Amino acid sequence: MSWELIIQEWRLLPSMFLHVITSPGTVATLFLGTLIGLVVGVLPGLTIVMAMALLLGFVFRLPLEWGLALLIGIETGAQFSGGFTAIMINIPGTPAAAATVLDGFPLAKQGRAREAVGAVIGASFLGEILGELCTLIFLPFVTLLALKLGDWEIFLVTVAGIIIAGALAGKNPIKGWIAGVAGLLFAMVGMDAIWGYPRFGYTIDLVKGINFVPALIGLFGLSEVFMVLKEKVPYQLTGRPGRAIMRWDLIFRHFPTIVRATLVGVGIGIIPGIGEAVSPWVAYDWAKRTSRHPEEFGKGSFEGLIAAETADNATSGGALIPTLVLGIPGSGPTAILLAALFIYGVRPGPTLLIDRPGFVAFTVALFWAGALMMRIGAWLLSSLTIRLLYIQRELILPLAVALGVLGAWGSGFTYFDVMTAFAFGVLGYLMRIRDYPPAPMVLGILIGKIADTSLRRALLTYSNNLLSMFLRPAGLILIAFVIFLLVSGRRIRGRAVART
Amino acid sequence: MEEHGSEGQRNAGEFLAGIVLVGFSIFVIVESLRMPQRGPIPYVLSPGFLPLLLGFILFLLSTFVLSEGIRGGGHRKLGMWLGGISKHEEFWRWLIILLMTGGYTFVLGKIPFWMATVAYFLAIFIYLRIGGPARIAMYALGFSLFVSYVLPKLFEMPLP
Amino acid sequence: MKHRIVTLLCAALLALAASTAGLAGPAWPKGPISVLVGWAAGGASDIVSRALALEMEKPLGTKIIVTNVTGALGAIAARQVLSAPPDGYTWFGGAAVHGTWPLLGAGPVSWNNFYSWLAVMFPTTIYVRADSPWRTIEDLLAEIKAKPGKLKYGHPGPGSNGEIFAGVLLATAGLKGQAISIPYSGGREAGKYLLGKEIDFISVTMGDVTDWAKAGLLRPLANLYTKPMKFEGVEFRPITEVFPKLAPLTAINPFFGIYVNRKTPDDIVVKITEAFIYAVKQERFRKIAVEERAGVLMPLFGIESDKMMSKIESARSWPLFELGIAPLNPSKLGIPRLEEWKWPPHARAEFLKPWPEQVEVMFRKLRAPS
Repeated sequence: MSWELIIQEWRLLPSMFLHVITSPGTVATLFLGTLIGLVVGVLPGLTIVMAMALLLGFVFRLPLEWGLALLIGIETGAQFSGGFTAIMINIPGTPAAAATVLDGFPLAKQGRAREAVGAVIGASFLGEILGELCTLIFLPFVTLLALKLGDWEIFLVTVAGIIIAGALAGKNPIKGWIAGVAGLLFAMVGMDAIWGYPRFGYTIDLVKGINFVPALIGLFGLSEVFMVLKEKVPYQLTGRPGRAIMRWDLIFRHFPTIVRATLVGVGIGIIPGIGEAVSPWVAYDWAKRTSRHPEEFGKGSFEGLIAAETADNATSGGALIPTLVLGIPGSGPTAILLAALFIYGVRPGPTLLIDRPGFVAFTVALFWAGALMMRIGAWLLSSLTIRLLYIQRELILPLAVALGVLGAWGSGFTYFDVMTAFAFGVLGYLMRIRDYPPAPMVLGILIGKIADTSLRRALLTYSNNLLSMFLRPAGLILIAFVIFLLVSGRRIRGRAVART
Repeated sequence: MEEHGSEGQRNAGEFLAGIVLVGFSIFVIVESLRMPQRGPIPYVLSPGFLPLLLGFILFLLSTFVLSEGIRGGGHRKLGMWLGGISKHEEFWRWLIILLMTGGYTFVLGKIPFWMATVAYFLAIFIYLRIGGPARIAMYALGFSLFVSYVLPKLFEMPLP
Repeated sequence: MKHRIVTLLCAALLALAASTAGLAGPAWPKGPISVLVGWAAGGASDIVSRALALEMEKPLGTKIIVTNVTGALGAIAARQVLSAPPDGYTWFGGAAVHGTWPLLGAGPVSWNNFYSWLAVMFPTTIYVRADSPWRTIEDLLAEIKAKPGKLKYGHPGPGSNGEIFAGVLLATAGLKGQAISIPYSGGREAGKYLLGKEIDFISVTMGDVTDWAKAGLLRPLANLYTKPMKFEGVEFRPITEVFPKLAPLTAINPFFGIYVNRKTPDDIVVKITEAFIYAVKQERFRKIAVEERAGVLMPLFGIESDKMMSKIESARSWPLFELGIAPLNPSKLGIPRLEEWKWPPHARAEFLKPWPEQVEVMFRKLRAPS
């Protein structure tokens, strides 16, 4: 990768941004996309990937710039608004918003939902803008790192992700880790990627494996419905609904947290497939360790909320740009973007910078314009969305069930997926009443296949010299990190026991 | 409900969860040992390697939970706890909502999606007593229209 | 009060029913067609199916909606297509690997349950890094011979065209199992690890990494095809120059197309054929599915596509079984080895419902020298 090509993209960025915001068609489709994204993100059960995949057929009827604007609009819109439901009804719309729940929902219960939503608007906006900027500036390093990152390192990152999420998501790290390990085990069901062996494949549906979207819907959505509606008088949010309150002082005060979370998002975003689910947890953990008020985390800390949301949104940039210049999809949404580009006749890969100068800058400009439009729109519409999510739990939660069933069906179009969602709903409920947090399990199901494939492929690649695998420098750093997490995790647990 | 329950009930729950988890982890260990072994280092590269490892970790973690349950005397109070559950009103509410939701997912593919959705909303709104008949009908129909018509149309989705 | 609700309900149900009922028009198609692609969005199966669907909409005069129903190498989607009524409204889309499903325990569904329209074939290629010392396939094989069990190669997954090609090539050169086979999820990922110097060569679908070859990062050594190809200025030597007896093996190359239930009525099959012929002639289809991905446009339908599906069945089933991926012996299903292949290969093919005669005529016309 030559520097001149990259510098050219930097130089083209301002004019591309101007080009995007001055072409009415692009702005209109981008806006439509963000609206669809907002709907998808706010409705539990519908996921970004599902919406983008289903709309692909429509997208191809539009010219390239509009089609891309629509898809990117959906992604930025949904990524951001997944946090809305996390705060207001305790159901994260996307797996990446699982860490947002930890502090967002307690804040809503304290009657501070409007401030929480405001903080999310600000933090996610900064995360997205800074994330894409960082990735574009460090593009040569980022692509080099993406090529150098081997299976062994990817496996270690998944291990770190489960350890952190397990330790943070609940009151008792042991139970969090049990949930995480069980999630990893659920991901083992189905065809193994090294030998093609159908593990636990007792029926053809099990050979296919457990799809993570129905599991997410069941564990987060349906179990929450059972949890709340079993009460004779379900809780109602206190405080008055209204427009989101932007607390700029909070954003400024936690600016170091935002910078750290952005770096985490960009760094972990380059790991294909697991970046966006793991990065909020790592950022949250880092924020908690450096915070002056770590005891507030999990009880309604703005700092935790901001860290998780910033990293979540910064990851999309970290994932997207290497995808464009390497042509290897990082996450679900980027895989769909790649498919769209192929059909449009744009071939992502190293030749993209030569064949279509300015294309990367154009994409970043679309993301920026989308991010800006999204936040202004979200803030203006927030009085409506907040009011909707304030309505009686007895009304909104059954609606969440129906949407969850529709979403589970839409994730794979099989009855097995719907049944999976229901089964995980029951499991999630049983876990919650026994204080097993569902979030590490969802993470485990999401990253389990990658953890398994990367571990055994690393072992296979180094089968004639295992020692050299352990001596890979990046791997050594990660091993040290994992050991640090385990040791400090025990200390956190020790303190928790001492308190009770 | 457990949070308000006594220490003994809590430990009974821990004990039961521990038993289930230990059983599950043993199942996983046995099954993964039965998977074929291939490749240059057969044991480590078997499809059962990571499941075995995870099963072992789960076994360790769950014996920890189990031992805490036993230390708290959970195994002695188990019968009492299980007997007590059915007296809770919340348990029955949970069971009814669970059955409604389960019924909803179960009838898909046997009757059209919109019909199942309307029936589900009517049933649950009536059970939750969200208001008078007019309010129930309005919300059930409005929500059904949205879930089973507007959204699938918007995303060009095939329906069950 | 109760009465009012009942009336309201009835009215709403009627409105819903009315909105879903079709309007009068041609006999078929009356409504949108849905294509279930058995692989995830973004892959070759997905892109070829979408490109075909996009062009077939016009001659059929209806919307064609593509959905991805992934799992079990496409068998999950295929099962759903067969369980839908055979009215031409539900198609299967993607790679032509139907013959391997019964072997992998996916049930008795195979190519003989479908009419297949194959559109495009992608060759399989062995690439090395451009900075590696091996300039020809002979160099690479000599290196493997010199260092048995040391070299590592990547391919797009267990049982993929890449793994079978490399496996058969090594066996033909008398080096069976002398290089370590490492599966990735897709050819592009294998290419990334080759560039990262984790492995020594890759055996992947040609079009997956042609841009890296063009950018001077990779060098193709051998192509599983019978003729030399030139793509974006890069030469691809056919493997048959070195091993002429590998020519029938081209049947392991991935073929992509669309498929409908074999019980579908003849008039609908004819209409689909007309639309298919129109689609493969379109410039946009050629650009997306053929030129950009280095494919070979090879429209096949009628008895010829059945023969090809059966050859693919033979070409893939035996290596899958011998590599230990498929637990079932293909001879139990009557599948002959590729060397012993003849038409009809087994009882399932003997009693097939034939294609409409009109379709066979259309195929001969398409194949006639133009």
